[in-house]
Amino acid sequence: MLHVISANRLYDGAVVYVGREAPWACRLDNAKVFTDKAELEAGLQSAQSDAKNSLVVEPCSVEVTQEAGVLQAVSLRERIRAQGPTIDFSRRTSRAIPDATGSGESSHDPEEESGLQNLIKESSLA
Amino acid sequence: MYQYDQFDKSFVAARVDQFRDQVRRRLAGDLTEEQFRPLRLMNGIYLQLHSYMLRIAIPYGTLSPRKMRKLAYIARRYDKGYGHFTTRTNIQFHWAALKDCPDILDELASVEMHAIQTSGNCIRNVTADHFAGAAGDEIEDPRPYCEILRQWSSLHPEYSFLPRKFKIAVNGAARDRAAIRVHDIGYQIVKNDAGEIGFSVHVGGGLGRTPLLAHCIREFLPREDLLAYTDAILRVYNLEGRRDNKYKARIKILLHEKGADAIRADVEAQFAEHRCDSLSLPRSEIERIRAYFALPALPAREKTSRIFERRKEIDASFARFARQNVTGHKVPGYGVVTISLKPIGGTPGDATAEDMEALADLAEEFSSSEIRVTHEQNLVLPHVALDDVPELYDRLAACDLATANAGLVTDVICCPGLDYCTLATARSIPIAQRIAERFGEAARADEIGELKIKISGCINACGHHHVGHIGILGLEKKGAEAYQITLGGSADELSSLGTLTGPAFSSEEVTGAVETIVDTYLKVRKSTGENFLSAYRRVGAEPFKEALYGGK
Repeated sequence: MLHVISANRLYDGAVVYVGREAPWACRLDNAKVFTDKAELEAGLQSAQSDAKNSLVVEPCSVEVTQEAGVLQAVSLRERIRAQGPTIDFSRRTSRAIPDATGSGESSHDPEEESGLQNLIKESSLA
Repeated sequence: MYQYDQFDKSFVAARVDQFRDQVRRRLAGDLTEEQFRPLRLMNGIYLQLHSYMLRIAIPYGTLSPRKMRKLAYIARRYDKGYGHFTTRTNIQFHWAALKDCPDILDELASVEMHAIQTSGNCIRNVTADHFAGAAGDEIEDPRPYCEILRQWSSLHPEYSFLPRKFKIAVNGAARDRAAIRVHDIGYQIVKNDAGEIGFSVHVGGGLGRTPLLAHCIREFLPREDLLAYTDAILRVYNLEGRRDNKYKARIKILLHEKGADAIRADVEAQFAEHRCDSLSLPRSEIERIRAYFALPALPAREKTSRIFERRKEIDASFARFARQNVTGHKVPGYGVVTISLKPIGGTPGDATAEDMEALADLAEEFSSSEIRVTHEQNLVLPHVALDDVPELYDRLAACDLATANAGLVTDVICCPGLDYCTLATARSIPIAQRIAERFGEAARADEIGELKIKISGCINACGHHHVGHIGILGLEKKGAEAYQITLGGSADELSSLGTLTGPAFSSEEVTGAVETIVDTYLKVRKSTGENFLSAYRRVGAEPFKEALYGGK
């Protein structure tokens, strides 16, 4: 049985996974896969430590499958956490109207939304 | 509309400052999640599947254009460009970052809004009839009493840590549009034989995993005793409500276990003992608050508008909008216009920043700067001259906001479900969308007539499924979504809880099951004038069960 470890990032609540190449990754594709029970337990302990250090909240293990190198969560709940809502919540937002401030500024990182920024900077986790 | 005085402004500003410091300490690691969770919940912030969710109070569902524009700004600046209006007439932003929440609360405070008591075991946002102050059948506007209750209950030291959350609704018309019998306390404004205005008091209603309808424990309560009697009910609940089991902690369970007569006696005893001048409402204070809710100056008009009637004659789409979405106003020549947030295939209750800004503009132009939020997840412009309805309709249509389906099969009430919510066991929004698409053709929806479908994604029943004419409850069974159906629920003055039809349906089956129910109704109804609920109450569940399950 394959598992990954997931949590929500403290400062914005984003879904994160213990990463293969960085402590935490924003995409399931970049999550570290645990095949061994002892290793999973150790990973959860480490994740709990990050929770105590106020980096993430509510770390937990998530059962996944891997086919042709693609990870997929087993439960619908976790698939929705990994991929976002199954509905198109943006379908009525196409009409371009200027930002109320006139600045066009948004608090959301466009790279993050497009999936390009898939790692939490290691410096923020030190 | 009520306007903050200096005390209110200082009170809300101090709360924002306090929470800003709490967030700073949490992010710095000085507070643990266990310490911080109750603090964020007290400020309306939940951690959901993908992000934090900020729930903002809209007291008694009343908004001004200025407030609506601020919500639009928050949607665009801090969220993903939209918000979700809820069955408690609040608005939720589903993509709020914790680090931004103090700034969002600061923005809200600048327009006299906040998120206090939108979560936690306290007295929640007090709700009212969404047509309050405009409805032709109204005895008195309930909103001044909601405001009095709001002020009294905000951070009330004795009632900030109740056994469980506590919801109050006030209705002012003969028609119950506030669902008072599914609230912890429902106040119905009544007039006694002497012509005095007061309340009948209904206690112990609620939905969730144990749905129960409230019992009337007092037929007439004088207006000046509103706070004293509410205090007496809360004293009984605070003392006797169960704190050992959160699933049995609501006042409805206490009332169910002790009986209405015993609770009535307890409340009356507390009322007699603690009724005092400090909780009596002076007439002058009631009048002071009532002045904030005065009917706007509406110029006299002919009762019948030739412009309105003429447009109905030549434009079938407009005639349909007028029939479904325009309700009579207490002032001749005016109407109450419902703006459906249920476009066919859309997410019930969602509004984009652009929608909000458009509605703010239209409210200023056509509705004396008033907007209401309904517990059926729509918006209302309450004071529109019938002469202006054609132009308003055209402007709404240009913004895709003229869906003419208020009260019809496609006006589905729906919680966020498993697409957002950590508590949910199944998705609800896609089911609502599929049902709306199945019945979206105007002629078919018109043929079916009034029909309230309500969907919840778990047993907590935020979508009020127990009181849907057709109620749908999403569950998880063996790893798959499954949907139970109840029939015959209603949240109006003839409230009833729906009855389970039988085994659940899969996600793929449930829309077809709803269609089977609707087709059965069309077969059994006596005439087009007999709506779904009336027909169901006449024939019972059997024809529907037979159609759904046959001999199974």
